[in-house]
Amino acid sequence: MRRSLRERRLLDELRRGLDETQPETGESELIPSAPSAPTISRRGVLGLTGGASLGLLALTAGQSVGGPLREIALLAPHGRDLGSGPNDFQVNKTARSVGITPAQTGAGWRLRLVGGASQLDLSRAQLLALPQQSYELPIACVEGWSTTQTWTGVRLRDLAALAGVESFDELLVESLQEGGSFRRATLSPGQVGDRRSLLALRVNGADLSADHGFPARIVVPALPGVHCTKWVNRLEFKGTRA
Amino acid sequence: MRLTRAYGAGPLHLLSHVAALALAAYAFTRIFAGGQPWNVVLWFAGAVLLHDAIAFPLYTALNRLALGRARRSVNHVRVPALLSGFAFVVYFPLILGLGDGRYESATTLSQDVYLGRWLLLCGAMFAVSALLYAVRARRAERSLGGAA
Repeated sequence: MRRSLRERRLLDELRRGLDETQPETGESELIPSAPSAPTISRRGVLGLTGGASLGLLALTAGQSVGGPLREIALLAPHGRDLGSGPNDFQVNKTARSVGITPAQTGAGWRLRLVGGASQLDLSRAQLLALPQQSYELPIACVEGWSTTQTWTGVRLRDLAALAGVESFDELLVESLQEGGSFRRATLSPGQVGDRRSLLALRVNGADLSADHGFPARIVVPALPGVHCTKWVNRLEFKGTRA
Repeated sequence: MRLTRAYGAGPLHLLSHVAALALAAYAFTRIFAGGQPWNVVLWFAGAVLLHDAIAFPLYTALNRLALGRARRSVNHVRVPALLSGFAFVVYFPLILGLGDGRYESATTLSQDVYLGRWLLLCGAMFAVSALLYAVRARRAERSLGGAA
């Protein structure tokens, strides 16, 4: 095979159109003994393969790159224009599909914050009364799409301070959702410590919608979307040291 | 060399072959660690059957048919057909709406748009190809006319 490949120089072959395309010659048993006349040049085959790959890239990349490219992600599952409202961006798993009811996320909802021996229950109003920060951060889904939004909420490291935690091994995040592989996730101290890591309560100036994780969701820079847990109801700092 | 005579190729060939087999075996252990070995068998057997028994005879026959009718313009049909088929093979669950409600419950979106989009994409690619063919045919005619 190597001999066959070396027989022709790539650049010479790229200059040849269909009329000058010659069948393979030589001794190998892989070479057809009585080939039909060529109907496509070798550069044509190369171009077609490369072009098809590029075409598929163009049809897919837009749903992750965003901007005007999203318009050409015609067949990609999340390559859609969803409107211009504050909560009109891509959803992975609706509240209904994971069994979240309005009763669970209503006035009775509390965030349980556990750090060592101490335990604290916070209502949404109490969380909104804490210092709020806003950052523009992407949700980058492992399904192959992303979307960047402006999230507002409480810094995770402020919640650690509120729980009286100074150092810990990991933060366990739990969701109201009953099913699904991602009803809980753990974050490292480094991820919790970043100033942009939030327990988000609002997005683009509006309350989170039910499908985006109301009453509260995690948003952390460079964290896969599946670990940005939605409908959070419990945060536990594990391995705390005073 | 005795090895070359008995084995049929050089020692480097043998060594790289053994290395490749070991790598393949490792890949298999990783795949079967996923816990669904029958799925792997099913996909392999399905792919062989679908390609060799259905797809290969089908595209060979279509190609023969196209070649018999339009030898010079055949690539103007082949290229858009291949690209449309390529997009279909990758996205057919969305195009045919096979999500069974799961797509909608996961994304809040409907699957209705994809068949139309795919058909428009096919239409656009065949139209561009036809336009290119018309331009080429026109040019060929002109250069023939000039020579005469």
